[in-house]
Amino acid sequence: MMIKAIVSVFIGGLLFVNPAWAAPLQVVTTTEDLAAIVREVGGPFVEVESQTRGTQDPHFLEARPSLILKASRADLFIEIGLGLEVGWTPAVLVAARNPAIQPGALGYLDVSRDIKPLEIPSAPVDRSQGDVHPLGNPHYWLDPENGTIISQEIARSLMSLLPDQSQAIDRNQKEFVERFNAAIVLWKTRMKPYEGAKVITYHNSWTYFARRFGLDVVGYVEPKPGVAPSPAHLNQLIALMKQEKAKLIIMEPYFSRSIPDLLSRETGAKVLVLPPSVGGAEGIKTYFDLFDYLTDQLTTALSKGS
Amino acid sequence: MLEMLSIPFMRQAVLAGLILAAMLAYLGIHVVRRRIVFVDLAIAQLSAVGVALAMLLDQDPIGFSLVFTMVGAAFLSLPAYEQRIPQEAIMGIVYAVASAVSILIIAKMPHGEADILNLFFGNILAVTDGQIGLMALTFGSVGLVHLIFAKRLMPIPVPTESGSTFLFKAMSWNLLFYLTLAVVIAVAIRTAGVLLVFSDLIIPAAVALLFAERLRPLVLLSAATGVLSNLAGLYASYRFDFPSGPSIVASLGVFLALAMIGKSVALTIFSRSDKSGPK
Amino acid sequence: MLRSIFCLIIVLLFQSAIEARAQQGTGSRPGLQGLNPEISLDGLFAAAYFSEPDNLNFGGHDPNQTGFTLQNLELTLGATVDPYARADAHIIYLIDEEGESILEVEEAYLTTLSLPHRLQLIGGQFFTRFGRINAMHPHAWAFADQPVINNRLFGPDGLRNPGAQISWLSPLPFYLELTGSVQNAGGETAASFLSNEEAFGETFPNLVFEEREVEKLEDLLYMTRIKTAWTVSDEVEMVQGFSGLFGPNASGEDTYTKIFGLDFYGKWRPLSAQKGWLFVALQAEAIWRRYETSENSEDNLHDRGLYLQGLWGFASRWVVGLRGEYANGGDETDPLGDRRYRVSPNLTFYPSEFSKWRLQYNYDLAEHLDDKPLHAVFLQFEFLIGAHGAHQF
Repeated sequence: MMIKAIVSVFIGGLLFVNPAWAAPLQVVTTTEDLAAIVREVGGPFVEVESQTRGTQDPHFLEARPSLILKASRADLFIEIGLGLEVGWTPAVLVAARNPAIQPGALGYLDVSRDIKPLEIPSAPVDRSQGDVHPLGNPHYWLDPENGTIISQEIARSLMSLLPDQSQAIDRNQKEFVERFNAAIVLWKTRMKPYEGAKVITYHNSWTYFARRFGLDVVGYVEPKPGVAPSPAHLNQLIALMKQEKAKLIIMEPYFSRSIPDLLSRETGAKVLVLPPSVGGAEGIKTYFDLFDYLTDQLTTALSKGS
Repeated sequence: MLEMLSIPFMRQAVLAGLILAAMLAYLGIHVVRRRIVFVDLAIAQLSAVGVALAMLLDQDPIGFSLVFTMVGAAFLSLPAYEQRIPQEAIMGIVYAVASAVSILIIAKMPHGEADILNLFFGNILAVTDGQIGLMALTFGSVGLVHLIFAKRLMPIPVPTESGSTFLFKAMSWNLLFYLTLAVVIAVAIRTAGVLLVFSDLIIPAAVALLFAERLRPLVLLSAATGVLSNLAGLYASYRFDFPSGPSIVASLGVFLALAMIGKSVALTIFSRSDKSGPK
Repeated sequence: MLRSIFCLIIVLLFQSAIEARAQQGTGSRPGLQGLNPEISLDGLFAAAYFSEPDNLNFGGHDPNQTGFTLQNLELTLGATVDPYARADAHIIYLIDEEGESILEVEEAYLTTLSLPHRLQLIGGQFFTRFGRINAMHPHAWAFADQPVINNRLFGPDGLRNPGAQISWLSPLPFYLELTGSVQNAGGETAASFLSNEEAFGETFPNLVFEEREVEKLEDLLYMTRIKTAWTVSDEVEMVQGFSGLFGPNASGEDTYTKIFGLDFYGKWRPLSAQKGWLFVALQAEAIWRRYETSENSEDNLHDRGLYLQGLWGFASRWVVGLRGEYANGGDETDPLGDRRYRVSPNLTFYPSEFSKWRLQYNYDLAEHLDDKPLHAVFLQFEFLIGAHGAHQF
């Protein structure tokens, strides 16, 4: 009887204990890059998780129950936009039953709204052009100067959801931008000797990086986005690579190496596997690490070539 | 009596009390008739385990305890060992083990203390609008289910002989009943606490069973008893400055006592006037 | 005729919604992209060869004759109405084995997005979310034809009717969803329940059809389902479910049908998957039905069956699959109630996410034909134009 009393009392007490401390804001992002920036800006006030791993292709995911579950608990949902995640994010949002993160709510952030996209199609698009993105190229996080804009938008969202921590978040964001801008100078200096280097990439995902760091992308392994290369296209590509003396074939880890290896044999260009995201390779834990790694790999590969 | 209702939290407590009394009174008829009086104790303790786990993992207590309770109730609905081990023993074991588990969980928690004595009987005075809404929603749904499937749920299920040709013959309706009971208990515990839920279930039903036999009069009488004693208990706690939960339980007890006395008096009077015709 | 008008009205409503949005200006900002309704048209065709003219493919969308079949032409419309709800409609056109054109509203329903307590409400006309295959549209199936047990218990078109459904995602740390729905129990799409005279005659040739009115709330079709998911790792995820159906049936004044099912789905997809390849997926469902024909429980009909299918995406854009099925209704002479085995290997090629070619072979053993093996070969082809939302995992 005594035990029953104590136990029931404890349980009853637990029923009414409401945590008075503020739990960190639960943030869910679609990519690890966004998660990394959220950590820089949000610091101890946020707990952030990415729905994709850095080694995964964010275009093609399924709305799995595990993703739905994470989204159902999130206070803030952040995506890259521009059609990158259109194959799965809408389905996750509908199934998440979370009014806080529905498009239009304070807890939903499409980071692309303040970004100036490249390669917006000027003519009407249709699927004969492959997996074309009608709103522009979505791989904009690979231009570090867009990182500043991303951090501003994330800070704004966080401040509207955590008004008490506005000052601290603002400070974090400004500090991050300062450190980051300094790092951008370093990376640009590192890449300067190789400005104008001609490369080809597997998928049209390096436009923003190339523009910022002076690489010249002369062709793609895919004749159209998402379409596998045909022998005719490969022939043309090999001829182009020889003509332009392309030095590198840049590809993401989730593509198959067989065609790039073939091109390398035919033209002497080197295959370079580069991760497009934080977490895409060992040691890339922050947004800083990503560009450190990319510029380091590129400079090493390009220096050997010449 | 009416000035009590001018205070907002008393109004909410009365409303919560009425909703609880009505729902539990009806389910109490089932529970007593099916002779599973100790089941709701076991179920209540299971839902407590669910709440403890929720607190430990920093999750939503209602959701956790709902699922836990429903799973537990589903297991309890299985008639498998009924012939060998009496049901009361099984309920007792479940209660003991669940209590032990919840103690173990509390032991792991960094902060588990709260208003201890006050909350043994729940804290109906602290009920929020959200809780009232949730109770109304879930009890309404459970009531609807019972209304629609009344025919299936009412007759007392006889323990099935082994070897029925179809695996889910009568078990599905038994299971449905246990699940609805689990939902109601899990939600009610939040406001009323273990002992008040138990009392609200059993005592009004007992009073009703003293005087009626058919379903409709039973339910009406049980609900009336529950509602009146909840009101009386709340009024007593307001007037005489007693904690609310124990007051309600006490008033339930008083009603039962009065009912039992009334019944024996009536029996004596009626048996004496047996030959003198109807009154 | 009425159906066609109904479909036309739905299309016109969506059309006006589209125009209203267009007048507001679509904007080039990605955030607004979600406001535009998705419209898509999915065409599913098959060329088939059957070794016997009397084939055993009773599914409404199955290839049904030696020759060509328009299995399914599906117009899908979907749009977010406002932050609170989303609307979806599926209108299908097909040609049955007698060459009749059929135009139907397969599904048209509203889904809430913002209910509290992790609830979601669906209202309208929809497929009952029982098991896995019943709610999937034929063009999303991994095989060209409907599983035998689904066809026997839910009819050639699957179980669908107007109604409402509520589901709750539990706050537990793993995925647990409870769903309950209530729908009409009658009509040709509810063969195991109140059905209608024609469909009843086709499903139960040995029973007498009893015209029943819906007298009490108990006479509707109720479904409950519990679905859990277990994320083994970033690469492997499994979904398990248990569903139950209860409703009145048309063979007596007071007779009811109960249907229970277990379902399982597991998928392995490595992190380095390119566009989804490589992968391995396994899916299985086991379903039982207890159909009361009279007060006497000895007259009850018992049906059971299961299917098990495995898919292996072994190379980019290629999938090889194998399905095995068993069904038994205890009646040796009834094509819809006898003991049946079927094995179906297939090979599918996806030129892109928007089209597919599938070659499938069926090997069928049916008791009512004395287990004489029946063979069928299908070449199936699908195209999808427009924006189509992702399918359920």
